Amino acid sequence: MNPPLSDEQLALDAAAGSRDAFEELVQRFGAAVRGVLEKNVEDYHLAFDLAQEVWVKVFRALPRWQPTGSFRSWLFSVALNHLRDAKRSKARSRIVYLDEFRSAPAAPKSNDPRGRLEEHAAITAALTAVPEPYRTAVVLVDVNGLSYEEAADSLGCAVGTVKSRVNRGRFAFKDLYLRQEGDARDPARASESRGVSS
Amino acid sequence: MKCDAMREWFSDRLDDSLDPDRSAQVDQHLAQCASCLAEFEALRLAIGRLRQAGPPVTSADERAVIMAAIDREAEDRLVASAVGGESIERRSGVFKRAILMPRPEPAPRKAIALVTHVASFGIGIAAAALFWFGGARDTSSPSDASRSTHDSARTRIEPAVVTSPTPNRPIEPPVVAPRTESIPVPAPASTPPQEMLLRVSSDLTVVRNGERGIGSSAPLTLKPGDVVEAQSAGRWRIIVGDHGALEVQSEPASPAPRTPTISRGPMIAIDLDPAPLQRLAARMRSSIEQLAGAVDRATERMPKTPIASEPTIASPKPAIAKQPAESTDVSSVTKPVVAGAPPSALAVRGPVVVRHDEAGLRLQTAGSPIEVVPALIQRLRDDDARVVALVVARLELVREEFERDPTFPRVAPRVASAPVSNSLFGLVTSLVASTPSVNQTEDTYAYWNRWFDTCADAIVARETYGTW
Repeated sequence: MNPPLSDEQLALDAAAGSRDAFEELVQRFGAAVRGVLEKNVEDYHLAFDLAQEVWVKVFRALPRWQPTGSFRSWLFSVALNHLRDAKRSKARSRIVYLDEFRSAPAAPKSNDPRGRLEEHAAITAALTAVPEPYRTAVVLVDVNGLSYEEAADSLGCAVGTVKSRVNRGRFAFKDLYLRQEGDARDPARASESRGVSS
Repeated sequence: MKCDAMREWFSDRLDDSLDPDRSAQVDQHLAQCASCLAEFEALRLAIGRLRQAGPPVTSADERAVIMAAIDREAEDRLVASAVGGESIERRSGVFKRAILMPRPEPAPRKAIALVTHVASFGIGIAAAALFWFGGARDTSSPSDASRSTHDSARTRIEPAVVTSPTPNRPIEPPVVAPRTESIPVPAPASTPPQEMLLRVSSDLTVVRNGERGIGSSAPLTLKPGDVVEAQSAGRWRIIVGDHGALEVQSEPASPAPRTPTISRGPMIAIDLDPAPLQRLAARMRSSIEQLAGAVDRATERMPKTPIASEPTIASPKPAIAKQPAESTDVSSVTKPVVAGAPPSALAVRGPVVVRHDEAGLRLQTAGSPIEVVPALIQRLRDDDARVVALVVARLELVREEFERDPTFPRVAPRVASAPVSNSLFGLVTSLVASTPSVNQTEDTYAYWNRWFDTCADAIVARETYGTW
């Protein structure tokens, strides 16, 4: 079996007109791009729409992409630039969706203090609460596995800046995450911490 | 203070990115400081779980949605490149698209002619001739070519799938006669042709697959995947698809007025084998008869709606201003045919108009479903199998679209709450029964007509290729 093509080779193939190559890139990074956006806009549907726009931008720009850096760092830089543009745009109106996609999943029956869904929700909630710009740095490095250099390319800043942001973001995430974990183990303490009288 | 300084290195220590000396220094501190050790372990736990969660996996649905957006973008970009990057919305009334159908069955020594009409807004396209390449090059003499051209133009410029121009606009007559150029080709092989020849006049600049050149008397051999662009006063592009399908795109010359003034008839007449349409018609006969009876019964139960005598219902598609065809080859098929009433009554205003003109066969519809559907049914009783097929195609696609797209009631809003069965019978019955009066807006008419034209194009493509 042939080893899977690198992201960069797929990008070159896609730039040359291969739809299959582009689709493979979407398969590899579609959810990751959407995830980065979602962590910023805190709205799945809006992130989904933005992600589509990002991919269209990628599709347009791919023929001009030069494989001097990693594809995914360029991809995330496109996504983050698009996110900045979208935030600046006042034209984007709030969309209210009728479906219940965002409703909290039912707590799984388990002896574990947290099931998988709950664990994922806790991670997402903690990560979302990490302030910017530390959150994006952590998402790029720790969630999506970018190197500091790749993250620096994506964010358009120095490697040292990325390291600093990741360091601070990690500590912030740790505090938020472990606080939630403590709340899950001790609901009474969670109520107290939220100022809710029982 | 020392602890705070040490904690600055915890992140790098987790990454194992510290140099050995620094790493040893941190480890030594952790061995001595319980507070920092607890902090470091908590950080390791939290980041470990974050990394363990990993990046989300792209679902098939998400991938499909993104790729659909990409495909739309690819199509838009293709079109945009042919019109100089203008937005697709503005191009919608400008661009003419058509699908050229390969002849599915061999027809000995008959050329397929493509007629380009050089219209008033400046499609300054010199004539081009397309013909299938059946394997061997043509060796006919020029006199044979001339005779064959004449015969083929008279007999082969027949039904066409034509795009509809923007409705509600006067049709301006062309100022330059259509030019036809074709040469005979040998009988096609039994297999679908994979190559075809394109002759481009030598006064045109041609870009073929990115390589610029000029036209010449020697025809180009086109293969699937080839893209040919030519430009003179206007610009056109031919894309060779799989199975030998051709897509012809053209645009008026700059600075010719763009939307909304582009409103004339189709610029390209396409030779189309009627066999697929006839097969479709034959297959749909039984359901059509059933449908006709149902509509008749439904309309009997309803108050009579004035159709031909209703003066307030203006057709959104004015009749094409007939011009004396300057080519005798096409003049024989320019007789207008009007359904359901004397031509004088419905030529300008009426729900269904079937017309042969320079471009081929055209089916126009205007009005609400209660007007259009019975008139279409009436057309089904005509003996012209091609008209029947076009009508059936439209009705059938109305049904399919209705089933597929829940927003279809945009066309017939009252259908939204009506029970609609999964059949053409049920759909049309509901359309008729649930539309008590004609009060549709002009926008609805325009939408309805645009949609019908799309249907006609799509059904032919499906009939030929088995897919949309």
